[in-house]
Amino acid sequence: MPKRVLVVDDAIFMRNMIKDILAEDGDFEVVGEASHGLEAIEKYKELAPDLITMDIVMPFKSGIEVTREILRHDSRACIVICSALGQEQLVMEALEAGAVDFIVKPFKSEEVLKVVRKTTGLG
Amino acid sequence: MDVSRYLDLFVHEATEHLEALGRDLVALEREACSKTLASAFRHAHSIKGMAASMGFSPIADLAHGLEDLLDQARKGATTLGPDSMDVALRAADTVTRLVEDVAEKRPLDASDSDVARLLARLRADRHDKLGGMELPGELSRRSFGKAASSGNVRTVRVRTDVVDGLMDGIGELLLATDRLRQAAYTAEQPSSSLSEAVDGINRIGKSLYQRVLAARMIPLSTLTDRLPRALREASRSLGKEVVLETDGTDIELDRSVLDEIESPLGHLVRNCVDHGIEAPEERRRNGKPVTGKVKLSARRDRDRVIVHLSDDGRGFDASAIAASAVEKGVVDSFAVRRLSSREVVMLACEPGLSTTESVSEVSGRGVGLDVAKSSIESIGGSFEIESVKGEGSTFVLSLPLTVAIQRLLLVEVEGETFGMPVSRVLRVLEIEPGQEQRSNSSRKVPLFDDWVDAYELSSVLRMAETRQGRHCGNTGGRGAGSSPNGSFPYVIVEPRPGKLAALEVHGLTGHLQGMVRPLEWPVSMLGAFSGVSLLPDGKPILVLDLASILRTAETGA
Repeated sequence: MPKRVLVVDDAIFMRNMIKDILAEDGDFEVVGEASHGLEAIEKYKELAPDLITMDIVMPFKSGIEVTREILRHDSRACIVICSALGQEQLVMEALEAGAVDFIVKPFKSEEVLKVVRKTTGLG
Repeated sequence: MDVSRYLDLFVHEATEHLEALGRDLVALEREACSKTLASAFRHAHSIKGMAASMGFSPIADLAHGLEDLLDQARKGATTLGPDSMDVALRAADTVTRLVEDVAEKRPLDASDSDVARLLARLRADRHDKLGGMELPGELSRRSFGKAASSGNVRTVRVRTDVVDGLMDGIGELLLATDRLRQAAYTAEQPSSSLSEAVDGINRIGKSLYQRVLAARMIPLSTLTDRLPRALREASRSLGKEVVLETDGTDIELDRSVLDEIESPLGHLVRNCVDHGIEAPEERRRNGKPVTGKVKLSARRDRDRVIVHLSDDGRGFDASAIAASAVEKGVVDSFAVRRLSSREVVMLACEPGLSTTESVSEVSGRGVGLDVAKSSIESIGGSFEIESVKGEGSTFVLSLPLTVAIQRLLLVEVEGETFGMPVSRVLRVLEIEPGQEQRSNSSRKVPLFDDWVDAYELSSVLRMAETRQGRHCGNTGGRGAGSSPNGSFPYVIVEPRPGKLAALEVHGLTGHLQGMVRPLEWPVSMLGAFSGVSLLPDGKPILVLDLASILRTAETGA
């Protein structure tokens, strides 16, 4: 069964790009999208996905806050942070909050797939 | 990874972010606000991320510089003074230009000198601690509730040509249904079940039409949100202080109407700042507040939207306009004396007057008004100027909600059928011959307690070669609307806001809900017509441009 993914990013552009990359690999199915922090929390509770790709800079709540909140709700949640170059400090913060790994924009499909396969135990 | 398939999405989304960023920056310049600053930062950040993914490095670099500057300000490490704001706005403008280049498939120049210069300035400004603006240090993180609830509305992005295609299809469907309905009513053996079925299709068609129409509607604020930028540019370059107030801009209009008025509206706002609002010292001398005010308000009136754009500046100088109109031969010195001051001010929209540089200096206002006026009229709108010298002026735009499908009153003139937009029709009157006031040059008919100027449509359209004595019974072959005593119906129309006129026609033949398409050259040059529609039997009819007909009638009178 494919791994169920929730894609969180305020830009449709980025969400589409991640969805297309994940679609290249038959082991993933994007089951939901969220365009801001609050929607991400709601969607997580509703869908209980196997993996979340999480943007950091978003309206209403940052990806770091959302990560903390989701992990408080479900400590086994698997969250991969999507960051841009120059956000090293924020990435550290997110990892401390409990995110399992991170990918860096601009995305390269091989790298994205490598990280998400690893974090979901697909190797 | 092939990113070309994301190009349209990139242009679309980046443009949205840029518009929001522009709004935020202008708001920040007015008032320091941590929430707005955070929002501006996010927009710059999103643009950077998308541009980097697309490989557009000049855009990504500039957005990155902007993001950094805003981030520093957000963290309280720097303040945004007027100079920083200027650089930030310029950077946003340059990014906008570059995104347009991308949209037009023009190559991006990696060594673009603007980009390099702005980047250097942005970096320098990060360390500028001299600016004038104090920023609240701590970001408020509690303002989620209201905006978050809007996240529940699900939306889909649809290309506009898809919606246009749907609209076309429904227009054709309504026309075909009308034809079917006529056939059902006039059938030799009328069948009630057929009529009911046709009425059913008609209802469904109309409800579909309403829904698609609603999908094409966008709030006026999508345009007016960009005006603070235009206003800011104009006022800064002229050293004037101007604030913009808006009211009622959540009103929704058809996208095609908004497309048409975008550039005229920008023109008009600049006109207010350039020529209306006085320089600070002049305002002070005249006892006015130093900061000038431009106000845009919109309200719905039946199926039209009335936009008032006013300024509290110096107003139009009617005598200067009159003098130069005579000098340029737009009107003769005798005719100009017969014009009301309002009509004189409208002369500023005459092409001969408004495009010449010298007049702009004398009357101070003309340039570009003719262009604005004709674009507004081309979509069935109207444009008026109200002005009090020394106190300010107001541009009044009356706009149709939509231009695609209109309800038309069908009138007959000299055996030809024309459409009149029902939105401009107040009522239809039958006037007894003795009830009118006539003189050699004009005719008036009574309406309520007043008199309204009346014109024969056939002579305004120059269809009547010679028609002697309209009460001599020479009505052969004319419409069914004329009554037995030989009088014709008058249609009372409102071609311009507040201006009524009575148009005499030869008959009324019905009404129609029709798709009105713009005329193509050379027919579009005729002026008296705003578009063409189809009768249920497929015959084309011309739709009258009432504003231009009234103008012809007034000048010909």
